[in-house]
Amino acid sequence: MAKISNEILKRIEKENIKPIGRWSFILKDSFIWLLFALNILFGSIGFAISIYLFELSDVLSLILSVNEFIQLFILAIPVIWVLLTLIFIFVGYMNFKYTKSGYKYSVFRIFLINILLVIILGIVLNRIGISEKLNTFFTNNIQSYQESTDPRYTVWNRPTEGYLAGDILFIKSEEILSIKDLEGKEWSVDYSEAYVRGSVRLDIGVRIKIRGSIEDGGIFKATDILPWDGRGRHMQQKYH
Amino acid sequence: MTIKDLNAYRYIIDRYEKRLLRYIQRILFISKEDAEDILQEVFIKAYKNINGYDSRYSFSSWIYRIAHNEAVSFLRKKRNSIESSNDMEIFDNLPSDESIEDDFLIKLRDKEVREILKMLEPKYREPLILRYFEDMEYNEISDILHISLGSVSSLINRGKKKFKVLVERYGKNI
Repeated sequence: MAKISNEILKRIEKENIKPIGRWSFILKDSFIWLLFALNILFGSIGFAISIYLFELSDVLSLILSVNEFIQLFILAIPVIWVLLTLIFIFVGYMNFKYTKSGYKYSVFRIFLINILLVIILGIVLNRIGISEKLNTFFTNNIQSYQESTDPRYTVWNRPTEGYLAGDILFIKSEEILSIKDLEGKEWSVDYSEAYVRGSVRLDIGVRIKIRGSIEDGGIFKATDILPWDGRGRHMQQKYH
Repeated sequence: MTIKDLNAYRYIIDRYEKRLLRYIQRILFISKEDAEDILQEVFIKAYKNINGYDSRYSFSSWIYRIAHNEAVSFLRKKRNSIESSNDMEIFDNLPSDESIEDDFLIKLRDKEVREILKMLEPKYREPLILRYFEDMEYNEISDILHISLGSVSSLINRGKKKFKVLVERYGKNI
């Protein structure tokens, strides 16, 4: 057996093998932790924007039947951002697994830790307005970002099912206004009996969300008018 | 690299070479010569990475981990040429105060046990070898195989059951 140790030591000397510096290991560990932290941060941003976009749809502001609520709830999920969040959670899991002590935790525990971190940080980022700022930035800088990611374009672009959104073209009277919907079609909206949320400004050029139904003659009879920017339930409410 | 460092490293080699050689042979079923080649690589890797050793963990687990990795890469390279060796003494170190299943292991004889261990899936084989032949604790096995304590426990329990089934089916003198 002594032969083996002699051989190994001879080889170390002959090949001038040197131990790798401690800093190299520290750097490697730090890099893995940094990647993990970045994944959690990006996942949190994804989750924060998901919450923000979901809130914009105002699904929770409406009084709905259970079936309609479930249908609307599903439509209001910002799929792209939720998928991105899930991807970051998964990559975060992979990162965590490759940390020095990552193997000590079960898959379930690592996912639970990641999901909790993403949810908590995501809620904080949404509360302090980061999600809104980022969403505005993406809207301004990425072509057709809003149409493809914002669930309002799905939820409030179904006039036959009672959900309409668009820009006010003109206000005919105390009862009728005209809007151009998200696809450019013009509608006459009867808002005489509508519940207009307090944060809604009925001015030309303002974009609004309308719940109601199509009446004979193609007029859209509004029952609820909500602000395009959502959070109708947080604002002071008034009846028109 | 100083003479002093190398002498310290000689002490590490002397302390672990027998144990690691036996471990490599047990998990790979290879000849002593092949196992010695792997062992040499293990000690060279350990020397290169000595600064990466974290003193929160046991040194034994750390160096066994390197041996495990070397064994895995040897298997990858030489997947189809694993051969049985006849000069292993793999049953010298069995614990005597364990459960009935462990007593079961104690009674097993060399050649048949090796054959049965070979039939066992590697994911069960290695935790069993570490536990019953290397006398490792669960946390040390977790550190060597880089799996959670829960996984170690379930692999050992399932491994023992599978081993028992194989013994009942193929063991003649056990």
